[in-house]
Amino acid sequence: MRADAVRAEDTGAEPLLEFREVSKRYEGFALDGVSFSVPRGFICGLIGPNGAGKTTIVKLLLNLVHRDAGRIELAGLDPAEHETAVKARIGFVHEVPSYYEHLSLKAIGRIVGSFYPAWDGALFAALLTDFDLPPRARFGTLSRGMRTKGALALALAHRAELLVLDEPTAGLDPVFRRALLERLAGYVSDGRASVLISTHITSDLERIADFVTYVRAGRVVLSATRDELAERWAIVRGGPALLEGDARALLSGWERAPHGVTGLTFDAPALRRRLGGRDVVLERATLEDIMFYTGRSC
Amino acid sequence: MLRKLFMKDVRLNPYLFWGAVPFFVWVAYALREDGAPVAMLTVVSGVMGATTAATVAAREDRFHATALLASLPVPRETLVLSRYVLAAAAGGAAFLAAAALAALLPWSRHTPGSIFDPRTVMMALVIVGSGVAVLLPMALRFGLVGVVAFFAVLQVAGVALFFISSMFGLRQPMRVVFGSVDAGLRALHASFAGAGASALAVVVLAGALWASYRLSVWLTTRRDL
Repeated sequence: MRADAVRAEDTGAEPLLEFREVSKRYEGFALDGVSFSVPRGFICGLIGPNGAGKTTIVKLLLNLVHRDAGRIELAGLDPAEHETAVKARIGFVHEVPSYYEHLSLKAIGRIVGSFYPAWDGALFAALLTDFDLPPRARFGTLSRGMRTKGALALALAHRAELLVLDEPTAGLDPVFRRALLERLAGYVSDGRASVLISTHITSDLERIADFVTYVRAGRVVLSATRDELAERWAIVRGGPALLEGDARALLSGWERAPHGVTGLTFDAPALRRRLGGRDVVLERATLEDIMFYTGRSC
Repeated sequence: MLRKLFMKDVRLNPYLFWGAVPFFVWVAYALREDGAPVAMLTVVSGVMGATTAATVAAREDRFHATALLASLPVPRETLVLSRYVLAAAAGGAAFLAAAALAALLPWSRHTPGSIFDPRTVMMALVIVGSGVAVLLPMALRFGLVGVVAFFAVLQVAGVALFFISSMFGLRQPMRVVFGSVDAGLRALHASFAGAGASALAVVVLAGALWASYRLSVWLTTRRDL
């Protein structure tokens, strides 16, 4: 199984965020040697099943939890050493946005905005209008989706260099979900900012992510560009020959199906060469396929 | 930054400040009695004001806003300091409010000299400062649970004391306890007549507050949110 991390340098772009061998141990769970990077001007998706460690990675970046080992840098600054400077560059949307329930979005904007040097009050007001959010409505009366929109408006209004979204599309209607993804694509288009989205709704990332980092049980299983995933990773269907010799070594996971074997390969061109003219079918692997098959052998 | 944090707490917690109004109405009412204990009223007001900082921290915990606050571009050490500043400001303001009532209400028979007696001011400082030094580390580290647990332990300890003293045949144990507290406070109040005792109290209080602040910073910066 591949676990090599894509580096920002590979893309020729300046790295905005870098995780190097970061570890964090809890009772019953450990994030173990996590490495990946997000180049400036790109969207990176952090995928993995529930409890894989995605939220811990986001919290480590915000210095909400403390790492046991490794190095984290945002624009060359370590969040533990330059906490204020790093946080001023991050716009964060929590999975369940929590603010004071009795305050209106307008009041929350006034309070939160006062802490950010680059806060743009006019932009915040415009975003509330764009998102169809009533500025005077109490936060506690908003639906889950509206809360997420409000948190997103807060994150965007201080012109963050890195937008960190933890499961942002859960609770959003399909129309706004698509509009959000388009907005995120527009946000990074000038090459100044990047977006890190942690989610297990992989279909959102298929649309917009330039990079994908897959975390499972606290380890980075894969970190690759979308193009690399499309070129090299594939679903393969065939007979029992797939599980023989060298071919099996090219599978990340597999399962026996009623009419043969279905698996996931991390090197489709090599598998094609190995199997030659044998009766196998290779199809494009979705992110969901990658999450489903990786490590599976039954 | 400290000013912004302070203003944030003021804007976010208006109900807490309005909630103090009935208490001051009671203070105003109590002042109408002959020989109303003005020292006690002002000191209790100060304590009540200072504990506002612990309540604010606990409310943040209640709204799950601690992580949001920690994700703002503010060092956690400054967040802790802002709570101590809030405690000092709210405690001082509450003390002054009670003192102003005692000085200005037409039915109050206290003179400014008796209200702002240096011994009373010192006592307010010591009691308010000690309360803040004990309560804030718990409120900042353990949130609402910490504050509730603190008062629950106090209450359980009081009940246990009651039973234990009853077992040893002590009659009216609560009267003894409250009598001891009253006597202790009176002794403390009297001791501040001397400049040496006051200076020593200020030094000890400053040390306790500094130790409490460092403990709060230590607990808060190590807290995983």
